[in-house]
Amino acid sequence: MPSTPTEPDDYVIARVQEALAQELNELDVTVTLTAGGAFLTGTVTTKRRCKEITELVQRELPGVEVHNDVGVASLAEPDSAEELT
Amino acid sequence: MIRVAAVADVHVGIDSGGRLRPHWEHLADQADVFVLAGDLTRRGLAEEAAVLASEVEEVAGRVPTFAVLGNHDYHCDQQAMVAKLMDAAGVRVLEGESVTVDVDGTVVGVAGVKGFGGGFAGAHGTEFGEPEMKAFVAHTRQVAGTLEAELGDLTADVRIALMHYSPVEATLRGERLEIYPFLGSYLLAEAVDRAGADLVVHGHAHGGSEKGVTPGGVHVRNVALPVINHAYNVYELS
Repeated sequence: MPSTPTEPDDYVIARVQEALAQELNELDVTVTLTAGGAFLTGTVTTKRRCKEITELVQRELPGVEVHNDVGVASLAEPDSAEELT
Repeated sequence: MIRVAAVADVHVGIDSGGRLRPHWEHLADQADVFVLAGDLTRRGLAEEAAVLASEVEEVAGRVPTFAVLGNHDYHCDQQAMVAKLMDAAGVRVLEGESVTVDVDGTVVGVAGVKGFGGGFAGAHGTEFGEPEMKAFVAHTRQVAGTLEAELGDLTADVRIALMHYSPVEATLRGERLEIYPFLGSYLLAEAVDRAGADLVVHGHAHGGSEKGVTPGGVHVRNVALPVINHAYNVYELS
C-alpha cells in the first residue's frame, strides 16, 4: 500500500498563518513546525489574544502539540524620555 | 524643547475597553503632543473606533493628539467612520493633511499620511507590468508626493512626519526580509528628506526595531506597541 502523502510543512504553516490573518486579523505570529510540535512566536496586545491564537492553531493542526511562546506587549508608562539631538 | 509622546498599533477591539486609558493617565504631564501612528483598530470597525474614542478622549482633551490610519483601519471599508469617531474624541486624523499647534510659543507642525509599501532603494517595485502592480506602486508614489507637499507647506519651528508604514529599512530590522516591501517604502524617506522634518514616527513593523534615520539625516522612530513595549514613548526635540 502506498503511504498517504502528507502536506509539506511550508504549506501547513502558510495555511495556519492565513487563518490567523483572516479570522483573528493577526499578521505577526510566526509558526514553526518541529518534531516537538508547533511553536508560535511574536508579540500581541492581550493575554486573551494569545489564548485565541492557541485555540485557532490547535483547531488547524489537530493532534499537533502547540507551544505558544507569543508574548504580550507591556503597557507600562515609559521610564524616561529620549532626547533627540 | 518639545516633548512628543507616540505609539502605534494599539489594535483596539470591541473587547478592549479600559485597556489603554489607565496607562495614558500621566501622558499629558510628560508630553506636549501625542501622536498615534496607525492601526488604531483591529479590523477597522466603527465599533472598535468607538471603544478607542472613549479610551483616548481624556488624554486628547489635555494634550493635542494626532493620528493617521493604518492598514487594519481600512480592512472593513469603514475608515471614514473610524476617522470621524476619532475626530469627535478630539484626535485629529491626518490623511494627507498637516496641522500646526502652538506649544508655549513654539509652533509644532505635524504632516500625516498612511504611507504604503514597495520596498527600499535598489529593491523597490516599479510601475511596470500588470495594472495591479502599477496601482500598488502608484499609490505609494502618490502618498509620498502628498507627504512631501504637506511637509513642505508647513511653517513650524518643529516638524513631525507621521505615518504608518516605514520610510527606512533600519526600523524593520527583526522582520523577515521577504516582507520588507509590504512594510514600507524609501519613497516616504525621500519625501521627508526633500521637504525637511525633525522626526518621523511610524508603526506597522511589530517585529522591527525602534530607531532609524533617513538618508538625509532625519530621526525615525518605529513606535509599534510590541516594539517599544510601553503604552507610549516620549521623544524630546530641541
